[in-house]
Amino acid sequence: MIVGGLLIQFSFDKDLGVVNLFLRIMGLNWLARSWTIYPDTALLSLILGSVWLWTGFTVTLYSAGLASIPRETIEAAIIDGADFKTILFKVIVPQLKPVTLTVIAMTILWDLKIFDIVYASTMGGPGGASMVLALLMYDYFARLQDYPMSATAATILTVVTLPVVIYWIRVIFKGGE
Amino acid sequence: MRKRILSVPRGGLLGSPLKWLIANVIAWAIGILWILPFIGIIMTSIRPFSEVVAGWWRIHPFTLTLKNYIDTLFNPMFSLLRGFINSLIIAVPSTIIPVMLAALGAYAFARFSFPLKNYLFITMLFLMAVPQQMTIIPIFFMLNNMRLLNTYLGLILVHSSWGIPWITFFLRNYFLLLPKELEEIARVDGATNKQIFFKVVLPLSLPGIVSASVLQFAWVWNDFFFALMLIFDPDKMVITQMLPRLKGQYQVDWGLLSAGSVLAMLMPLIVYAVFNKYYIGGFRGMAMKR
Repeated sequence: MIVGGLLIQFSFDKDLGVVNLFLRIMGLNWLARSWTIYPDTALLSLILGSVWLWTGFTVTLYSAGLASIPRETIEAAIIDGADFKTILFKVIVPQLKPVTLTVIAMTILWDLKIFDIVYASTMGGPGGASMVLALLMYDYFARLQDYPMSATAATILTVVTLPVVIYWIRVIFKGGE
Repeated sequence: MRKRILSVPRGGLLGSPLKWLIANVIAWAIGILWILPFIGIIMTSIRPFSEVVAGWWRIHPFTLTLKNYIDTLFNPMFSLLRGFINSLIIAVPSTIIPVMLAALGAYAFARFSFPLKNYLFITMLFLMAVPQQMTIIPIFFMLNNMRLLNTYLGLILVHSSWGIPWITFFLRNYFLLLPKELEEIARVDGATNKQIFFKVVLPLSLPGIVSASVLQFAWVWNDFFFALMLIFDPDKMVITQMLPRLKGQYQVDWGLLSAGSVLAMLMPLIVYAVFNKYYIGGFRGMAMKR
């Protein structure tokens, strides 16, 4: 994930970054700059970068989920004369519900706890513009050596993730019934 | 005639071949866009930095060189070769220890009933989801008191215990999917629980165990936070810890950094590739099932 953060900084770089190449091609020259070093775009570059990083994981889980859908259900819908839209939303999407729940729960949890990516690409900067809870906890611990504040930040982070965790555990427990 | 109706029409669910073509073009475009940053980092790592300063996609002067790799591997300040070896020293035991322990626990959760089983199971699920940041302060002071701070052993122990809950959950789901009959036959033949576990269950669940090991190895290899907090000695640092340090103070040296990133990504990829055929069926353990 450190590599993920470096790749984000690399892709949003003024000269080297693919993102800025496309922005220039589209004529948005005023947007073509090193996104990670400006306060107004640092967080946005991390958000877009996380979306990019998580797409791989999501696609893997969804393709496994799609492969496990029985073909007969789709064939039956075709025989019944359902069009593509109906098959997609009435047959395929409902059967993917468990995968969707897993993906949503895991991405929310991971992105709340995001640390490596921020550390590698912006260090929470510039001027705290892209600071996240996990990095704040680390800053208090390692840089300021203020352990009570650090523990407080960690606890807040845990409390923030708790509703998702409880929801996820309930899904797991309901899954088998 | 019947067969024609039943089969999905040419062009898949989309109907006409034209729609099929458009869908494929869009899918390929998204796929290529997604992979572009990886291509970029590889292109930057195998060429001299002077060629790529204006963008790695300019391929007119194209000189293939391994200079960036040699420079990062034998960097006098942060030798990535050392980091690579340290990462291996940490990751291999941190994979073997928790998988062995978790397999025993997972079998108990899958097949036996004992007091407080459900509560223990829920506790384990909570432990899976606790942020690393929540645990690190007590761990830090505990390791400090045990004189294990800044040692390989300390980090290995932390990673092992961190891995046990999710591997237990993963292997328990896998064991639940195994047919019970084989174990029952063995029991009728007079095998003890121990014999059943080691002679029947473990060989049957090899794909599950390999998948858990591969995932745990990749997790420990990619982990950054625990190493950052618990290892300070440059000689003992793992590869992910060294990468941000290669950045330099003012100007980011993307030549060094890209080569380092590729090296750090290499090991999990090799492990995935080598064990690919073993864990095809192993991800059944991911299925959510009580």
